Order: sequence, then structure tokens, then C-alpha cells
Amino acid sequence: MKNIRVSICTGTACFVMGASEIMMLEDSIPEDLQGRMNLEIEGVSCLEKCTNHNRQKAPFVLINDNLLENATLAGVIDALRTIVEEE
Amino acid sequence: MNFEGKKIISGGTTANIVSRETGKKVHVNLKNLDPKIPPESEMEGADLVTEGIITMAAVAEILEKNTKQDLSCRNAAEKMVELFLNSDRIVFLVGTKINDAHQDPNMPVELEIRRNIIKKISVLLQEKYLKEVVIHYI
Repeated sequence: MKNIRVSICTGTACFVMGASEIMMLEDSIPEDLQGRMNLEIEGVSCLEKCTNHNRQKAPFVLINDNLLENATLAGVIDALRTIVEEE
Repeated sequence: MNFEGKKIISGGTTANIVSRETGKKVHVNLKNLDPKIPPESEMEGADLVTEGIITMAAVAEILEKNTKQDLSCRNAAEKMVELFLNSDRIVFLVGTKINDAHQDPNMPVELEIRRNIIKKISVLLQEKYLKEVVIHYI
């Protein structure tokens, strides 16, 4: 079973752009993914990604150190599914 | 962190700076989430760690409306209000760097200007709640 660590930015920009919904991830894992990964979900006070000027968009989520920009709850779940299914 | 009294850190970047300088980790609490107010965090040596401007705007609103809160599900803003009201003298250390990300016109909500919100909270604390307030801009 794969270890997956999800770090959700809870800073101002990410929160207003949708991170508040992504924080519900733990209660939103679809049944077909449950029990198939060791999932660790953490909040981060600020990933400091919104202030660099390379036009990346909040909200930001780190999934095993891969940065997901413009993240949504559905997008995070899709990324988890991709990791779980890439055997 | 040597300040004698209760210590509140408000702002993700500020929390990161304090964490970097003190070596104390910030832990964001994702339990008991409030959809309107970003979650609070914990850091050794701080009494409360919160997000910045959304939380402070909510603090100003609570102080202004004097709304009684349900103590069973308190968010970070309500906790900050409680710490303010339980103190006689409140010292604000306010950073002056503009957060570029907040200037994005695509933001779905209008974010208050930090100085304005601190001034509003300061006036409310002094005039309505008879607190002594000191503001340092750094």
C-alpha cells in the first residue's frame, strides 16, 4: 500500500480560492480508494507559492512533494487515484 | 517570543517566519473546520496561531457587533476575540509588506487592507471595550 502525504495550504489566498473545500478531503475519499493507501493529510500555514511571480494559481496542494496548483477537491482525489492505480 | 503575556501570531507567512527563527514547528489543526474562517494552528510558545486578514476582519466584525458566540464550536476569530477581551493591554506588531497575491483582481472576495483592519480593531478595543492598545508598524 502506498504512502501518500497531502499538504494543503491554509493561507489567505488559497483559502479564499477553494482550499476550504479541499480541507474536507479526509471525509471525501471515495469508497473505491478507501483502504488502498496510507493517506496522511496535513494543513500548512502557508506554502509561500502564491507570492512568486511565475503565474501559478492558488489554491496549492502538495501531494508527495508534487505541487498541484489551481487545486480542487476533485482534482486532489483524481491525483490520489492516479498514484494508487499506477502499479 | 519573550513578550510577557499572551501571544497571538496572525498570518501564514508570519507564522512561517516565527517558526523559522525559533525552530518551533507550526501544526495546522484540520479538525472542527469552519467554512468561513481558516483553521487555527498550534506552535509551542504561542497561545494562538491563525491565518491573517480573513480572521482579523472577522475579529473586527465580532467586536463591532458584540455577537455572543456558541462556545462549543469556536473558530480562530472567536478565540482571538476572547484573548483580546481577557487582556487589559494589547500590543500589535504589524508587518508592512504588501502581499502581492492579495492584489489579484480574480480573488473572489475583497480582502481588507491590513492597516485599516488593525486600526478598526484598535479603535473598537479602546472605545468600546476600554482596552489600552499600542500599535508598532515594523
